[in-house]
Amino acid sequence: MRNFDYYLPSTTSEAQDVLKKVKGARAKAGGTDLMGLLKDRLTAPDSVVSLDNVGELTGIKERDGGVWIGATTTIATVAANKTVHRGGEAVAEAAARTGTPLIRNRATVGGNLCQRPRCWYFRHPDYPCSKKGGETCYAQEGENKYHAIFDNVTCNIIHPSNLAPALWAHDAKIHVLGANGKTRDIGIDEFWVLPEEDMSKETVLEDGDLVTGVTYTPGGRSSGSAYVEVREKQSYDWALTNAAARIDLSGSRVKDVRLVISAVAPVPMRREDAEAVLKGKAFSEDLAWKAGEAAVADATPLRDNKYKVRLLKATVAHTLIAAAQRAKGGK
Amino acid sequence: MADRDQPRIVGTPFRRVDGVAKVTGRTRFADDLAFPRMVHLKLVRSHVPHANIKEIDTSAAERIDGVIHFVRGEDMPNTFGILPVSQDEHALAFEKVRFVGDAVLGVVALTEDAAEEATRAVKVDYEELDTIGSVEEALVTSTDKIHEYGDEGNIHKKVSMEFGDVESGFDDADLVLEDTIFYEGNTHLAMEQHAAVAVPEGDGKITVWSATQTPHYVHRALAKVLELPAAHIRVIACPNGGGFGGKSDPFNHEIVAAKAALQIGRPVKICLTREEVFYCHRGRHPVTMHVKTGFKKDGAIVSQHLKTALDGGAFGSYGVASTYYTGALQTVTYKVPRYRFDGLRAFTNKPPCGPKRGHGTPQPRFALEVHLDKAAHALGMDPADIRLNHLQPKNSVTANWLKIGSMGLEECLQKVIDGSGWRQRYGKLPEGHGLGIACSSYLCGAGLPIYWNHMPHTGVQIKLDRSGGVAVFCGEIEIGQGSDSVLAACVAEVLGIDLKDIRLCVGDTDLTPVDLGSYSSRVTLMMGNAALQAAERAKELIAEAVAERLQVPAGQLVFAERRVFDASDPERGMTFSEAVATAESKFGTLGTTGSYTPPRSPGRFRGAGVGPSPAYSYSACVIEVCVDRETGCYTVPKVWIAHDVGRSINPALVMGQVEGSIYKGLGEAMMAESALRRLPKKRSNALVHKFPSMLEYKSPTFLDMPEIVTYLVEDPDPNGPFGAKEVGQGPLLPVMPAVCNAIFDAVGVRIDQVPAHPQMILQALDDKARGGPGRYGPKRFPDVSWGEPLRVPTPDEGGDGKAINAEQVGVRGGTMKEDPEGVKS
Amino acid sequence: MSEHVTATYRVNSEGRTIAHPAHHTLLEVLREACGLTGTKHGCELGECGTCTVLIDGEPQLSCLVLAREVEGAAIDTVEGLEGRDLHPLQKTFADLGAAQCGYCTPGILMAAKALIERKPTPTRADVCEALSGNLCRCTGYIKIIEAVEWAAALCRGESGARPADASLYGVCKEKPHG
Repeated sequence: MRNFDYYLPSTTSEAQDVLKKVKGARAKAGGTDLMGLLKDRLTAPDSVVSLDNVGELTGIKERDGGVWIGATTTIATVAANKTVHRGGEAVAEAAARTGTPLIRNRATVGGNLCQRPRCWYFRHPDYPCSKKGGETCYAQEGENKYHAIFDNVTCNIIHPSNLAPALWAHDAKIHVLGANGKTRDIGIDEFWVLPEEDMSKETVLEDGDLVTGVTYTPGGRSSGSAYVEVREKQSYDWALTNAAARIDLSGSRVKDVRLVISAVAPVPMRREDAEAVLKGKAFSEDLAWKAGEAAVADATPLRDNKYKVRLLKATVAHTLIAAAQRAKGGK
Repeated sequence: MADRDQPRIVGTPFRRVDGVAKVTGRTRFADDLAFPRMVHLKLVRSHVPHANIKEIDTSAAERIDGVIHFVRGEDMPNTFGILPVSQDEHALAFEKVRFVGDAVLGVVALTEDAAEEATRAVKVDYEELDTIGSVEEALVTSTDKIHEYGDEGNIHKKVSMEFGDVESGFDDADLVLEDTIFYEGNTHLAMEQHAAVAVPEGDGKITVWSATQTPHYVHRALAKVLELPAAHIRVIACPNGGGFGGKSDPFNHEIVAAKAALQIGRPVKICLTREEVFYCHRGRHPVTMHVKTGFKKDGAIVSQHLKTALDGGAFGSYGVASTYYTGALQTVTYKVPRYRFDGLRAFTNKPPCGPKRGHGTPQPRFALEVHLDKAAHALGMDPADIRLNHLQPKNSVTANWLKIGSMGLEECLQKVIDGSGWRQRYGKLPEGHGLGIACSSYLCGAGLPIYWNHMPHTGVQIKLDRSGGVAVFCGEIEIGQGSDSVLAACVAEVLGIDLKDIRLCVGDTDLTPVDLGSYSSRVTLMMGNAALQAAERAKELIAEAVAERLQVPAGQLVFAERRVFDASDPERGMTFSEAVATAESKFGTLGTTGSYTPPRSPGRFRGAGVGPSPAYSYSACVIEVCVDRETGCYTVPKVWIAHDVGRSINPALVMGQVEGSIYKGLGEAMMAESALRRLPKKRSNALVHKFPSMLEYKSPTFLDMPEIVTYLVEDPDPNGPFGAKEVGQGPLLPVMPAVCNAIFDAVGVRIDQVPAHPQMILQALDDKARGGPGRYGPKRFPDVSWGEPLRVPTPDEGGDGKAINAEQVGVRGGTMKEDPEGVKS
Repeated sequence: MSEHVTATYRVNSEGRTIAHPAHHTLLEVLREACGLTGTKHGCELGECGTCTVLIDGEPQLSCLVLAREVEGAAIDTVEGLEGRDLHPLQKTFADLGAAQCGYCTPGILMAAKALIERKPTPTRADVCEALSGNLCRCTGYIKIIEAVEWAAALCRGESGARPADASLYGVCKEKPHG
């Protein structure tokens, strides 16, 4: 790791000042992803601005019908939080499945949403892949067992955040403090950028932007949400496929549903076609599998990841079944 | 001998002697050492897989603050390697590089940060050569040879031998079955990264501390490359933070650190990064296998022909021995009256493979046990019975001339059959649930040394004095397996003292007698025997002096409870320290030695050196799996394993070795693979790891472990200390085939390859649904012309252990002057 | 760029003022500046758990924490675990052979300590979950799980028999030695 100047501001505006003034400064929250990028020299900023002491960025609060989670709140805190468990089951589950207990004690919600992809071509220093400004996506013809099965023409990364689909299932907004000192809210559905739009990043954030928090909408009385992921190991592993769903029931009828999948495309994806399979109908396991079918209908798997299509179908079905179960009151 | 019949320590689960040091952080691993004026070494490593080095430009690196020295390959022209026949490594490559990760330059700096910065500033100009990435490519590539030696082209080693007439055996068989099976390479992934510190002494001598399993071989390699008398070099093996075979070779970083220390006259330390550990590798060879067996209707094997092709990577390492080992132990579990083995190892531009837990034997064991499962089904037999009914008998000699002593496999099988409810449950579990069975065996140390000599394989010295303290010196190395505890227990047991009365001095080439190292499961049996001999000799001296003092016949004295006393009148005696003082008065300064050399094996043919052992351990295993047909994902909820350890010196540690073996085996069965991927042509075509890291290289976590039921079977072996045999490696071997056999029981498809990934199961299920055989695995074995095999009549045929056509076959390779890894003609 | 920062750290209740490069991790400061080599490194990327220490009682990966970020926090390492006697975890790990090579042990001990302080009666699932950020390549984890359960019992003041002697040591008739 290269040495750098280190800043430890104690307020958001101080942090913003440094980020604005010091060229190439990088904000650091938990650092579980950034430290790896620094050590592997995938990034080598001259300055690092730690958000550790910015107390106002930490916490979980119920606010205007939503639940606000500060950007530097640790994943472990989210996973253990009673408010999140009540009405934000998918968020709690996604948090509990992140990394390892040690990672969760350090990693933050903001960092989880902003982490860089795990594609091993991107992470390997010897590949000048398109994501790093090169000309080729090596995964296209190369080893693509863990890569995207949707939107996989230009760049085959998958989005590694498991909080993202869960927060999206709960219609979250991301709060951002811009370089101009103004705050703005970005709907989570508009937060992501496909490689076709901008290869250099995965979110719409601009230089100097600072994520300050996220607010999601908790489910009501006859609503339930769930997050399911499949991976090769039960800890220290990334999802092969994951899905989060929120279902509002009216009796046994599906009044509203939100289904978001991830780990299968460069960014998380809401699957409205699959939602349509359920909407207005009496929920059944059979229907959940049909929705799973619909969720993978337009998948374009590569040589080594055809299995992910089957996996995703099952993941979606299991997620919907779990969410509906909760909506029925089986929380 | 009364003590040995009723041991007080041996057989009890005592606290390991290094236990407290390990739970308090006091154990000093190599990277924990620091010395005054110490500087740091980093190695510049190749980013291309196969190239001639044109120029190394250090000008930018020299300008970095804190950089003080560069070590160049030209300064160390002598080659080294673990086997005398494969002296093919340079401490630093200076003519060509052979894999991504090959070291080309050493950079020494005041801080580790500066040294690392400097390695990035060094520019190396390469002239790239064709990359050889697989056995198939090695077989057809004649230009751009990776090494100038070997059996032919890029074939490092090719062996072929036949015991009995295998073809006629197939003619006699009721069923002839053929399988092609692949075992992916994997690596040790010890938690500790390799580290070494070299400290120059004032008088031109040097001391090297290292995380090594084999200080004796490091010592030899250092002497050769540094061109110093071995007597001027001291190697001290630090306790290893895990070895598993990955620290059994002498390594370039140890030699470069020593060279740098001598050049600049300061202590030099190097600690490899995790990425570099993946480059050191020496892990499990990827092996493609073809096995053809003739069976009788009752499941008896009449004839077997095994072919193996090993992807060796860029250097020889233990590869010649690994090659032989893929064929050696197929005969020690079930009766195989006629046996042919053809094996080859190819050089490829990848990190070198070598010995990993089970060295060369897990791959063919996997093939054999999956193959047997298929045979049982083809013959309409229970897979447990095809094994149980045809076990190799104890006290026998196999077709390939291995001498079997104790053999507890029948009891092992019974234990796991009963424990798992096999008879009631196999083939009858609900859809998606299955049981699989497999067995294995392993050596208790190789019968011959790595370099040809007539000296002991291990030695123990004991020093006793009037304090009552007993110091025990041995070249063995604690790698976590518990060897320190075995050493202390053997001595304490014989002398009737406490473990804490013993001070150990181990793994130090200046102070301790040679022990060949912690590999091939040799330590408990060999060191244990040497320790017993040294302790018995000490006991004799003491007994003689005490007998004289007490006027009691020496044979009537008992050593127990830190006392020496008359068996018929326990009050009549003295404390152990008084007894030692008595002996010291009578004989002067006291010291004894013990050593061990394995018995000679009956094989007298070229290649007979690999496989013989003083004893063989046995294991049987049943594994339960649950497979999800929809996704191919599966879990292993429970494992039953029985291991014939001969006799447990410390059952707590034996259990730990068994459980650790299951863990490692499950990793290999389900997820672990050192698969290397090829870069596109325009990017040098290099073979690289997925970003080599502990994340990408998968290993099971706390949440992935099944319930394990362990049965220790004790069939004491006359060659083992207190009857003890090995436990560190054998129990790993049945795990992989048991998993794949269980997958078959669960969903009816065959995965002829490990690791068995969910997508392989899905593919096999799809294949079956389309009316195919329902199999995932390699399609073919490479085309190889093996030539005339060495023909050795079997004991049953009245053979004498010699080949009958040695002259015609000749000596392949032609480079072997001395006899090497013990592959003795 | 080789500017050093000076900071005061509270390690095992001892204060130490140390100058070190800004980018050095807590792991580097502990091992190199404090001489506390009990905490190990296995990957330096948060992938193995050997470097686990407690920061204000919470287990964290010292390789991913910039030292500066924990100035003033209570940092506990394996060296501080032992009082006049071994900590119950240390005793049970030593007795059961839960430490084989011992390299992952310091990190696992610290993660286990945090667990049994937070949850004095952990279930087996709790133990596995709490330790699932720590890899061990020797033991297969079983002895570690048993050692944590046994230590938790000792910490609760229960007499704490060695776990499952009878079934575990099927061939061993005698009670543990020493």
